[in-house]
Amino acid sequence: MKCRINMMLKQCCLLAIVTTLAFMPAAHAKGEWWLFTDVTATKRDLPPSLVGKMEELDFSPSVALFGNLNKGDFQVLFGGVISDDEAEIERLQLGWNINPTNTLWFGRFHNPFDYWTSKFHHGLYFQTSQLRPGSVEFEDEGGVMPLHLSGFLLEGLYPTRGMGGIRYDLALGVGPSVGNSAAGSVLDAPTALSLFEKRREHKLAATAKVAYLPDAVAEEELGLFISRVVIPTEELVFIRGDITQTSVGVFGNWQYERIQLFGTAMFMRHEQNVSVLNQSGSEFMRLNMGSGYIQGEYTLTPRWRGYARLESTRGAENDPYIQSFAMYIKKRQLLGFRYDFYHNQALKMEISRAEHQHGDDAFNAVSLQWSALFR
Amino acid sequence: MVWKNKITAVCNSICGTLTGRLVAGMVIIHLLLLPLLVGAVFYLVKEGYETQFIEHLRSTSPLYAQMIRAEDEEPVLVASLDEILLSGQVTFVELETLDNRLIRSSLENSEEAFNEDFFFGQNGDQTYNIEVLVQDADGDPFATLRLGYSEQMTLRHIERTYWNGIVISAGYFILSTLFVVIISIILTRSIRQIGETSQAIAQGELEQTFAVQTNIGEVSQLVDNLERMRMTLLQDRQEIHDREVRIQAIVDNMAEGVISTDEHGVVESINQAAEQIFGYRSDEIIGNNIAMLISESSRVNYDEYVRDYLCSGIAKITCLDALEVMGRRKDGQNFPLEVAVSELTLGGRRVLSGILRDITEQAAQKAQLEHQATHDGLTCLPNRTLCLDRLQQMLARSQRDQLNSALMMLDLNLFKNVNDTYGHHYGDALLKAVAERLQTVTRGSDTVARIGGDEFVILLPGQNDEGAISVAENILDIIRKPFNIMGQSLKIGTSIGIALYPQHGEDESCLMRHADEAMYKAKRQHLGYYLSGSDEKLNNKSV
Amino acid sequence: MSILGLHKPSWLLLIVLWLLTSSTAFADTRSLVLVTSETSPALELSGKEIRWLFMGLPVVKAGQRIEPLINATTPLVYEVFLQKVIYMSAQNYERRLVVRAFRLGGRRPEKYDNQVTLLRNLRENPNAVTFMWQDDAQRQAKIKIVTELWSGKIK
Repeated sequence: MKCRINMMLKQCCLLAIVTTLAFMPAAHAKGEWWLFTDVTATKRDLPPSLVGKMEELDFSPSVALFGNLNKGDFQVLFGGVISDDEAEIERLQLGWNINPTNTLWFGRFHNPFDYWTSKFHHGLYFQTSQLRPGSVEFEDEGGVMPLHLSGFLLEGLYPTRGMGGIRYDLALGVGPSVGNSAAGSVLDAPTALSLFEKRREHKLAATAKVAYLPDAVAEEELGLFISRVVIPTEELVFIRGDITQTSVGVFGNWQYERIQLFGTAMFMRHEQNVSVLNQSGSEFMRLNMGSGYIQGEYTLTPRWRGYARLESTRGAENDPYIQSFAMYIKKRQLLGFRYDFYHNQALKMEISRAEHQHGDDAFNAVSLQWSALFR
Repeated sequence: MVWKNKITAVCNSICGTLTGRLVAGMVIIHLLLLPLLVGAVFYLVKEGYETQFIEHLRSTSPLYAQMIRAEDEEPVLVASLDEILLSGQVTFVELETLDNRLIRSSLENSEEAFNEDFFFGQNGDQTYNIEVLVQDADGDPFATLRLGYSEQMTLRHIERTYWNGIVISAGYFILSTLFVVIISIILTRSIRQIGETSQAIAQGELEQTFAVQTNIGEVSQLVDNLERMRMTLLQDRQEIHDREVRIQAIVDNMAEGVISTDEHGVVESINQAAEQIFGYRSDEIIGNNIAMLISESSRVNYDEYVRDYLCSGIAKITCLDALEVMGRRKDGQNFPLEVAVSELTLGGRRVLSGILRDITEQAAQKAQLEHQATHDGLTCLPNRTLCLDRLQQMLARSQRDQLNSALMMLDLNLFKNVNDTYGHHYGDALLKAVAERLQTVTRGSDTVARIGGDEFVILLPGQNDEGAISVAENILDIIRKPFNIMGQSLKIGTSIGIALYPQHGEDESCLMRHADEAMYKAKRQHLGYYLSGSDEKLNNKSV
Repeated sequence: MSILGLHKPSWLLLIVLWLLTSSTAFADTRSLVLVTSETSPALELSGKEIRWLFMGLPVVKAGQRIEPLINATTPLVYEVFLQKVIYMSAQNYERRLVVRAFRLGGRRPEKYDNQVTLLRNLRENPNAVTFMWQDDAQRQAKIKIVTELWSGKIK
């Protein structure tokens, strides 16, 4: 905790220095700060194997601060989260608008694979549902894929005929390493300064995504991505060396009047050296798995929206890497309703049934969340 | 006015209870806030529906425009327009080329001016009109598509929401009122229980416990405090009772009677000793005036005594400042009673407390002592002291009434011989017999006294010399007769000296001296009696 | 009978004229135009570009990024803009801008409720554009019309 606070302070100092240097010459920087707040109450019907690993009754408030400063061709994007169990700078990006349609970012950013990771960041107000799909869960919530990278990110939009456009994201930097927690393995995401720290804790990560937008100003898109990350595994006993995670996937978002449908399907390959029981040395394994989700939303009235989501993972049973993440959601079905009021607040009620790694760990949960955006 | 008073009375009775106030407060708050809340919700709902309607038509209108293609023939265009109409969302469609050629209009009167709307309900015709430019493949406009979206559905949604909201609000109001009533009844149940128990305790039932089960902190605290107070009261009452019992026991076990009255003399309490003294039960006395316990003769003294005490305020103490009165028992017997009265102030009123002693025995003892002090123990005749006292009284009366009186002094002859011969007990018996015989020859108003040994004095008030001599002769005759003392017949004589008032003296000592001298003359000369200052011839009968 | 020197038929005529000339009775023809500062270089923007611009997407002309200013000084001009250019409701439009900024950062088009401030910023920034009624634009100094966005009757 102390280490994380130190790291957070260092990043805040970096932010302050960069901001001052970037904007000091002129006083006409434009920016805004938004405050996302949410309070979630969850009741879980836990099986015996999960008692102690998860809370049966959970009450979690959190606050996320989003900042966006612009001056000329430079901008700074900041996202921080304070909750009952963490205080972290999630996004800290310094951007340079190479040209109006391309921006080069440096810092800590969300790994731009998948539709969800680019659209929904920290701060749950914009997100229709309370829960993220298991395959795109944040590292400290049991995610098995790197959600945060530290390095460079190139974002661009290429206009096409009509109102359409092609959006692309290219990320190059360092990714997470695997750590241990009471609930099993957990990815330690890099910080904004990880590039300048001990390299062996965070290794190369690269992601490329391209999406076609029929209407650049609308929400519909169809895209694909590829991501490759090397994850050091010093903390894992049964895996020697690093894991190379390669992901390929497709995603899409389709909207027609009251209906919205979006989802992702991805294929993952984990290359890892697995220790052999009662033998010295290890065995190289290349394990494949598939994961995906699809979420449908229906606008019942201007303020009521219902949604449902199905998530599934196949082929992870034999993957030691995935198996080490006890809190990874293998399967989930959820149904929820969202009620918007006052233009900046929402109430969401969700019921879900989730399965963790082991088949007998399925549990039901009911949760109620209030979220808001103040700007 | 009558109905106004009735309404006021009803309101007061309702608001006089906690339940009533809770309900009244809830009703007032809801009446104030519910319209605001409902109004705000209605506004938001209306705005939401309208926004969604506008969002829908603004997003679908360009889509419809995209369905129209410049290269299509007119029938195809018309079919596209019909398809738009058939979507059900659009109630009016019109397509006009830029050169004002009307391809299709669903308006009955196509000449009617088309007014585009930009706000919901702008024109009041329940149709939202929107105009969209239709572009060709190169993005150049070639026609104008006019659409009319019916606002009726949205208006119906809004109206239905309003009614639902009103119904829900009314239902909520009623349910919340009922709920508050029920909850307040439940909440105040514990308070009512406290009230009932308090009432019982106020009526003296301190054994009633505050057995109120509640999980309301403040009420629970109150119950605990009240229970502690009750226990303290109970304890105090027990102590008071014990003290009263103790005091009552002390009072009841006092030898003296204790009676308390109010300042008018009405008896309020009486102890056992007093009951025994007067022979009454307490219920026969309590409530009656104390005068019934005092003999009529002493009543005046008693009233003066009490009046004097009340005026002076000085407390009386028995045996020092007590008053002796005559009490009256239940059987009517009067008896000497000693009373000492003191005052108490109890509860702001005066209470008189009297300590009473039946001094019958003491009076008798006193009388006896007095008797012993003034009478001869052997003969029971007045002794010298009493004799002198009576002599004083006789002389005073004789002087006042100008009467004669006589004093005789007697001495028994041969008495010493009897004592010496037969012993003192014969002598004592003889003296007693002489005393008896002397009393038979004297009047009741006369005094026969033994002044010592064998000397007797007889006082004859109102007697002159003749009378005195007559008495003397009687005495001589009776003494002369033999006395039968314990089987022995004894004969003695007597010598009598007579002195007359005022002839022989006007005071006791003078008369006594003359009588004594006369007695000695009678004795020496063996005369029976000798009248002082007279001839010997008058003195007769030698003994 | 005459009132104020006017006979009854004259009064009736006056009343009818008043009703006829009332703005609620007639629909005016108005034009919504895109305007910029008079110091701006010549600007040509297509409908798509205008829509992109006001949706927060970058539009570059002559090497300069065009900066959109949203005119919300009156509800009517804003709603006409939303209906004719953006094709969205106000709520959805603003939400889209916010979500876009949240995802990608960048600048959101700034919205102005005060015409004085709007015009001042427009004049000071040669790369800025906004929209207003044509008759308003013609009355203002130091601004020029880029293109007509829409023209039609408004009741």
